Amino acid sequence: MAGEEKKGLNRRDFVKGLIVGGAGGAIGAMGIYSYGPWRKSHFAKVTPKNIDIGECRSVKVTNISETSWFENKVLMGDIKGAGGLLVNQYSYNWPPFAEPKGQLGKGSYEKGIKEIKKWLPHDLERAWQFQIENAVHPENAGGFSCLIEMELLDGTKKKILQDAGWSYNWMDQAYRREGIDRMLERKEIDLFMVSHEHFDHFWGLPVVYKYNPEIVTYIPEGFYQEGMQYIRDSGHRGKLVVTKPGLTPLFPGCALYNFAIPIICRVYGEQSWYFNVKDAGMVSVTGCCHQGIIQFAATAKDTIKYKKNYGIYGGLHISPFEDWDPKYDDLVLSMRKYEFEKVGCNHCTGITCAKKFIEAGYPVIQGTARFRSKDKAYLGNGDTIEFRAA
Amino acid sequence: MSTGYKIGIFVGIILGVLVYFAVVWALPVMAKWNWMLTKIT
Repeated sequence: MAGEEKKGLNRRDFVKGLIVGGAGGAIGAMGIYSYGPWRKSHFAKVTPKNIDIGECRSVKVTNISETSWFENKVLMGDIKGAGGLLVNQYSYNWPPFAEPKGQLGKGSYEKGIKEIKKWLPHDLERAWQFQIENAVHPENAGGFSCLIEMELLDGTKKKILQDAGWSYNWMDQAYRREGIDRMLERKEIDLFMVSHEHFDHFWGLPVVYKYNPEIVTYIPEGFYQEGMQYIRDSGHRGKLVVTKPGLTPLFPGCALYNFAIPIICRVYGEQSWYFNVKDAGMVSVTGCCHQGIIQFAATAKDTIKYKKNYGIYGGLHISPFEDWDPKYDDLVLSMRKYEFEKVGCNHCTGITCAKKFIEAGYPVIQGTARFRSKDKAYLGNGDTIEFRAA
Repeated sequence: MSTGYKIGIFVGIILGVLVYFAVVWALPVMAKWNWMLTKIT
């Protein structure tokens, strides 16, 4: 032992050094590997499908309502009180599925619809009055819905109504404000698309069918039994198209994409739009984007033939409850790679996130904060955005 | 800092890097073994 110390080689010191060096080496290797090119060698190779969906001339989106609910605290309080984010949304006793003197988390679709079915879709005022008297926080319900107007290369125009919102009263007012009621009555709207089964995009359904019960309706595969029954109970008499996971081209330059994903409040599947605008690029339009903005943009790249990204519209689902987390900063940063030239966000993007986009220098189209939209940082109720080549 | 400690750190770093990359390399291989085992059993 004495001899080893004289030479400067102490076994105990060597082992200590070995442990410290080993830990440091392994951690350093993790860092080098994580940020190096080797990491990607384990990813599955994706060959772009380059599906040609054609081109259209322009796309214009009118935001009918992006205020799905009015108070985050009330909504989150109800969700937590009912048992959390995985609880079946039809059991909340939220409008329009309240049972008499409905209690939070104790309801069901069957008990709720029994009370209002006789009024759907012709007497929605009475149906909503019942909710005001019996539902949990009916005053907090708003809704998400937008009108998409696209022009084909031959000059033909198509109108698409996306989502039905939530509150019968709020959505009826919003539809009348934007003239959607008359467009539906005159059958000027070519199709109605429900992005997903969530309460704030789907439960206002009878308001659409009140004005046109025969409208062709597109829903993504994955709706639960209650949702399918609600379409029938809301008075729909037209064609119902259930899209399969993946791409469904509809018009030249326009396709739906069904993302088969599980979503909070026991919902499955969300569909969004891709529009290939001539001389401008790809415009992606979404309801709530539960698939995530990265998957949304990456799917377009891996699936469709187009030159470059141009625009994005909708709820981008980053900070729906105005909370913030460092991982959301990563999302904000990573969006730069997709080089959108026009960003029209609102709803579940969150005002906090819209402000971060603006700080990061993204081309966010700002709004007018009318009709109960809370901030000009993003496109509010009644605002429009147009995507076409300059 | 003694010479033994310094040599220990040097050897440790080399071993740490080697072991880490050996594990990274082995994971997909082990995943394949697992797939083979599920086929056999």
